[in-house]
Amino acid sequence: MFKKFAGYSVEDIVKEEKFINWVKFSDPEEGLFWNEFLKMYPGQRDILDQARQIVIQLAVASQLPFDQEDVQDIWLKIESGMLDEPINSRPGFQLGWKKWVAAASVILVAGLLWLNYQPAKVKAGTYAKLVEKAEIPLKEVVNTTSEPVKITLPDQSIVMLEKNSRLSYVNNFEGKERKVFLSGDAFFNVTKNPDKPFVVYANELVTKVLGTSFRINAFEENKEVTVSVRTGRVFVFANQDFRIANSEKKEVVLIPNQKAVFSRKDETLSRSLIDKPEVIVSQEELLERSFSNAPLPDIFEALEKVYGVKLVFDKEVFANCRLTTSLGSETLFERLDIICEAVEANYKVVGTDIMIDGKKCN
Amino acid sequence: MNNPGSDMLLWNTFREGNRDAFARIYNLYINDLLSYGYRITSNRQLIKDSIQDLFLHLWLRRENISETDSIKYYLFRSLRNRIIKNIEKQEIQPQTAESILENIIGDFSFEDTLMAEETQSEQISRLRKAIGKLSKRQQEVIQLRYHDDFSLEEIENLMQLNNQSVRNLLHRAISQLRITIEMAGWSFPFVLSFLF
Repeated sequence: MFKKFAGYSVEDIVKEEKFINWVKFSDPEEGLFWNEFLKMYPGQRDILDQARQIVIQLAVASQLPFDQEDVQDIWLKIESGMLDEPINSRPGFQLGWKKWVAAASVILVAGLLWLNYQPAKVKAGTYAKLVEKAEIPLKEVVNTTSEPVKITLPDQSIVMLEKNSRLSYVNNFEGKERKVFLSGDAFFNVTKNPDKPFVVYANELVTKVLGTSFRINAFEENKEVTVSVRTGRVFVFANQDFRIANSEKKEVVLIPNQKAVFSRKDETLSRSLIDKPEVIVSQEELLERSFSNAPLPDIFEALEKVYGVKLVFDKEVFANCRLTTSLGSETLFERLDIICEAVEANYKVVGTDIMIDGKKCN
Repeated sequence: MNNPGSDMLLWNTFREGNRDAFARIYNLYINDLLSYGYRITSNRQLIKDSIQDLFLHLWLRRENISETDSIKYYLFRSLRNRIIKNIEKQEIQPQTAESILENIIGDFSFEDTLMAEETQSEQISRLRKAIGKLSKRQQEVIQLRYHDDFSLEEIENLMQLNNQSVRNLLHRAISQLRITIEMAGWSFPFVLSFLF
């Protein structure tokens, strides 16, 4: 069954229906299939990873842009056409229909404007709904103070619950998972237990880990739900209970210094860098990385390791640039600001990558 | 991949005259329909008119239209036929000055959108350019397959091609994309290897 795919190239795999269904719909059956395939042919992992990226990028790149204005524009015309429909009702109503149409159009326009300018699609009661659905006795902590509250969970995991936030969890963590429900903002430091995943339900997102630390921001009234990772690997996906109509990605895997952002308005899930990426290696490792009159590409490569990020740059351009620097405890962007100023380069963050352009040094 | 059960329910609710269901159908698919329209013609007004006609026709004739378990497929097929019919009609009747002007304006804002997107992600925009170099039909098959998630069988019916032709078209499109990208010296995307 797997043999057929063992000799496939990236080009072959991206056309494979089974593969596309796995990448785009997280089809659990296909997930099982491809994970088994990788167990038998671990050498194919790079091919699958590349093919996955291409399928995702093709989905975005093959869409032609259009003017968002047209969406409302066409609907207005359809609605006014719908009003022309012959209505079998009282004659009195028929007499005044033109006025009625005018009034209805005003209401319609007002309605559309309201839809457009509504700051966020607030789904009130998402937390309440989730808790209600849990059907198991839950313990709840509500932080009504103005300071963060420290909670120790039954498995010794620590939660710093910020103000105006609430957390519910299953008593003694009975069951297959360590289930937690959050409304608001909290930092989690989860005790490792590979046999029992720790799962946080927060608005439209589900975050699944084995043992890591991360922050979730999920206030009911906010436009976005974010999960930011400090250590370890975190798996985030959209909760199936809230229908996600057009989202391209329904799941993301995060590594340290990355965050997942769920936009409640567009119902999309995307991955990017956190605002202040921090050093992810130990202090000892950091000390080994000081540079004296070193080529810039070497320094960039060290930064990639120290902060766990991908820097995209042209090696040839920067080959003659030399710098003396040590990598301290500052955040990635503070460090990049200093380096880029020294060699007159610029950087910008694109998704989880950082692109650096500059000119040759003499 | 769609959910046939929920599609059928939504479609039937609309056929019974429920305006909310009708509006929901519009909101669910309008973006993809507009985008697909541009794959067939660059005439903005013609796309807008065709979509408007299609939805109005659906509403007014809701009692007579057939059941479907894939609303998206139904809409794409109807829109494609309608646009092609309207293009043929337009070729017979000369364009009015007004509609020519409308098209020029349409094309301008289209370019603007393309320019604005460049900054978003270089990789995506490179891939988008490479797709733009494919033949019209290759572009269409890529969009239907990877953006709109239609099965090969649905694509066959939409584009009125047989199974082998769709496969060949897709095969050539993907090879061509790889060649274009490699010739321009662009590397394939960097990938973080996931441990999952």
